[in-house]
Amino acid sequence: MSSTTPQPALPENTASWWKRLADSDITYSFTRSKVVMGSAFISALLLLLALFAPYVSPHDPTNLASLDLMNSLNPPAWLQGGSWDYPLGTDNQGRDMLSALLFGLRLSLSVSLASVILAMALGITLGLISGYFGGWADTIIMRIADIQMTFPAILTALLVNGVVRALLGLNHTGGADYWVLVLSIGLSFWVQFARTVRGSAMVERSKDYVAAARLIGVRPTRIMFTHVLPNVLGPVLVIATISLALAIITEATLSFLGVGLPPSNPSLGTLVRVGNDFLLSGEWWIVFFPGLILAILALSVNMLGDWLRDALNPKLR
Amino acid sequence: MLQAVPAPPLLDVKDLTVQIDTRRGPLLAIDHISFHIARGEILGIVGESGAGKSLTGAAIINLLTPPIRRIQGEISLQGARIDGLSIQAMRELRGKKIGMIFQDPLTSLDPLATIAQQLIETLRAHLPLSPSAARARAIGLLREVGIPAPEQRIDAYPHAFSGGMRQRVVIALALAAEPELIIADEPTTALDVSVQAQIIELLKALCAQRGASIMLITHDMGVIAETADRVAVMYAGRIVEIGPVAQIIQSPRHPYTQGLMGAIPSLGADRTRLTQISGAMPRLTALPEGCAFAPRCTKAMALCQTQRPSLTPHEQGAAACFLLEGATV
Amino acid sequence: MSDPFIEINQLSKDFDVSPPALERWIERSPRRILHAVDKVSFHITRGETFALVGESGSGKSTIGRMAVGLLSPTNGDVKLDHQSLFRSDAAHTQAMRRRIQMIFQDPYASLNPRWRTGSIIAEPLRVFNPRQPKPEQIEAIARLLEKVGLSPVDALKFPHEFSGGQRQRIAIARALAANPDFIVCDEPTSALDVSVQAQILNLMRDLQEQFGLTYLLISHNLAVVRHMARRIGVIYLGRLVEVADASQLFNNPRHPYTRMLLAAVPDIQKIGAGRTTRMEGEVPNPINPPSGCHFHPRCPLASTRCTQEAPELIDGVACHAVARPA
Repeated sequence: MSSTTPQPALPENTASWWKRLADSDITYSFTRSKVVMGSAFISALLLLLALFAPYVSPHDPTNLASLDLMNSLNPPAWLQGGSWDYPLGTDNQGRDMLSALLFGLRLSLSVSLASVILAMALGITLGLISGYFGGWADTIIMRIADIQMTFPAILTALLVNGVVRALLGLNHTGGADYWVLVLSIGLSFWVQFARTVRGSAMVERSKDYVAAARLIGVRPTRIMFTHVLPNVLGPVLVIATISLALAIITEATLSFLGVGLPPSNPSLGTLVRVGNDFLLSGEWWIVFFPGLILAILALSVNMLGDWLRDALNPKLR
Repeated sequence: MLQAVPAPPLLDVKDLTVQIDTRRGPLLAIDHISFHIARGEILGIVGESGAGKSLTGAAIINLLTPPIRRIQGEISLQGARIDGLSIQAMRELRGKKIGMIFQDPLTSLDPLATIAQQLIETLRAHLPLSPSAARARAIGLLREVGIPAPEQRIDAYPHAFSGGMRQRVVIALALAAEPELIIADEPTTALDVSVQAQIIELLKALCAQRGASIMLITHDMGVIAETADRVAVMYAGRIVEIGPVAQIIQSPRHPYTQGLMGAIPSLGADRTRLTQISGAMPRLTALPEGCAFAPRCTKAMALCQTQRPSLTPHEQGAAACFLLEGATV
Repeated sequence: MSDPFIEINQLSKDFDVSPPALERWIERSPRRILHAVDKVSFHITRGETFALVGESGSGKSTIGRMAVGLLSPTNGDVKLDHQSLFRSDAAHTQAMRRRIQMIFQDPYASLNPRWRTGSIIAEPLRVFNPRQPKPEQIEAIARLLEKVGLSPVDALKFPHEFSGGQRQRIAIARALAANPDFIVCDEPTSALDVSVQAQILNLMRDLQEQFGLTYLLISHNLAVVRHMARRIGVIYLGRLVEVADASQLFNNPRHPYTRMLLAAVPDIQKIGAGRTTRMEGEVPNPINPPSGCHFHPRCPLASTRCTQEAPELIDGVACHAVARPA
């Protein structure tokens, strides 16, 4: 009378991960909403365009030698005076707007992604320490987070930006602008990650699988990263997506305010700033197209984040 | 015992079927079950988690919420159909004719209202009473369910009561309008053993005084043994055996019930090996084609793999097994 | 008496349940200490099952967590084979840890949902035997899975693909992976259905015989305890009120609380039974327990002495009223 168990029917385990993904609840809720599918399509398209900007752009906007002032302030192709050489017109230096837009998009996305990754790394680590160990570490980290939360993110970013530039003695030259921008946005977004991870880590810490690992003497840092971390990543993914949309806007704001990327290597925000000068003189296209792309990008990424939050929330299923 | 009954039973359920709609297709949570409860009788419904016992209770009082819905079945209370009632009529019926007690007393009590407010509201909703008469009646009820100093405690909020006292208040609420039937879903599961016994005694005594019937839903066979007159054993959405409590416990007919009784450790028995049923109840998504118990059954035959047995009556009760229909291996 | 394998000595645990320091200072309220476990002593002989029975708030789980070293006691000691569990010597602690394992109540929370079964069982193997070659480790996992009635291919699955009973088997396999002598089982079947409970209890007994395991079984279910344990300790609000051999405790309970508990348990052999003993009251809040003997407000035998003085555990029972056998 040994205790052998006939296996009850289990969900098909042999199916490939692709098939399991296609069959999952997430995929199901994704395919149910046209808005979400549209947002995903637009986000993916913009991402691809940014990725392959050097190949799809008709001109090279970074090559200052190729600019021709004779072609400056051309209107878009479908307007009087426009030409299909410059489908969306040119700016005051004769730069092709479409190419500038694609390269700007590339820069904006890469700054935002890099800063979200920085914020994530910082926030997850601090949140895990705070939630798993508690005590003084928790008090200090969370009070710093509280203080930072009282400032708007843009203010934090401006502050970090100013301090770093002052410390490094930078002005608008050299490639350091990029990393200063990443640092200032990254540092202003970590709090959200830290708070969420802390909350989930506190819940997970009290579960018995963590007790079982402690029982056999697994080191706390190892428990933190191998046991707790994989179980708190769901909400992190949601915040990462929503933060990405915010980071895009923040980057644009900083660049618009003139503390971001320089006009020689413009992001979408820089393009809006440059175009702003020509808005009243009638050359609307210089500001309109970067603004439009910015809005579409931020909106679709945000929509994806909202959907992901609902889809991962078991209560709303 | 099963002779012609002149009056209709208090509750009569015929072919009740409940379905859960999922995107992968419908699941049968309750599969054509029929039973009745006589006046003053305590019917125990036992089963393991997922057997459909709580859904049965919820289906009777129409508390199912989408994606779970009743797709078939006749439910009659005192001979009158109640399955097609409007939401408003059903709400009046609940409380007036059918009282409910749930596992967690906090789900039945409003944390923001005093016990007095809740009891008086319930009383006046169903009975023509003046506020002061209702209050006096409420105090009487609380005394009856064994709450000390009810005159003072009636104005307290639910959080001021301990778990056992809260469940007493819930019983008072359920009995307030003198219902004919009480549906008690795991009424003692959340309580400590010593409190559990008090609550069972109380429920039994009060219903006996009032002649009310109880549908007692629980996973605890011990509670059933001490309380119920008859028992229905549920497995994977069906009733597999129904009969008087002594018969079910001492001479069960269905192999599942037999296994279940052997699996329950008892205070009376010394250290011996428990009989065990191998495996676990199938999930609703993977119900076998034939008898749902066949994969775990030591007596399963070829017939059991393809066809479902229906309840076959015997001298005391009924069981759904081909062995009782005279089939042989 | 045979040599005690596990000795629990005057074990106490206090929890600080005071409000935060600032709030306490503003409201001038004192610290509030919850005496979850109050000077509990017992021993377990090698290879036997000792059960702790109690209702909510009795502190039985706290004792279990101290017995495996997950919590450190406020006072007292736990000894295994005459060696204390609580010494600040890392190598010693790690050597003791291998010998002590735990099976938890909720098999849905005790297995990491993101880990495959194989990795879950491999963790103790890896920690206690880091130099074991990979193929040997895989073989060991397969053997363990078969020991608990699962199949080696289950190592590739995730916990959510198993039923509650199967998960508890995985948890047992993980406990066995450390090759322990002593396993604390904290309500191992209370989250499971009866038919599955029987499987797990039988499995636990088979493994005990096979590996000569010593169990501390913590449960609120007297029938389960009766079925599994050779000796039983009854605990009420953090204090041990009676310790006796299983048969003696069930046939001849001495402490009034034990008697009340036994009368209260619903049992399938009590068909339609009317009650002879009247049950009184509920377990009080452990933060503010009654003075003297904690049980006195519910006790039919209570005298004024019981309200002032906590009884000592003498000859297996802690009660002023119950006379010592001659």
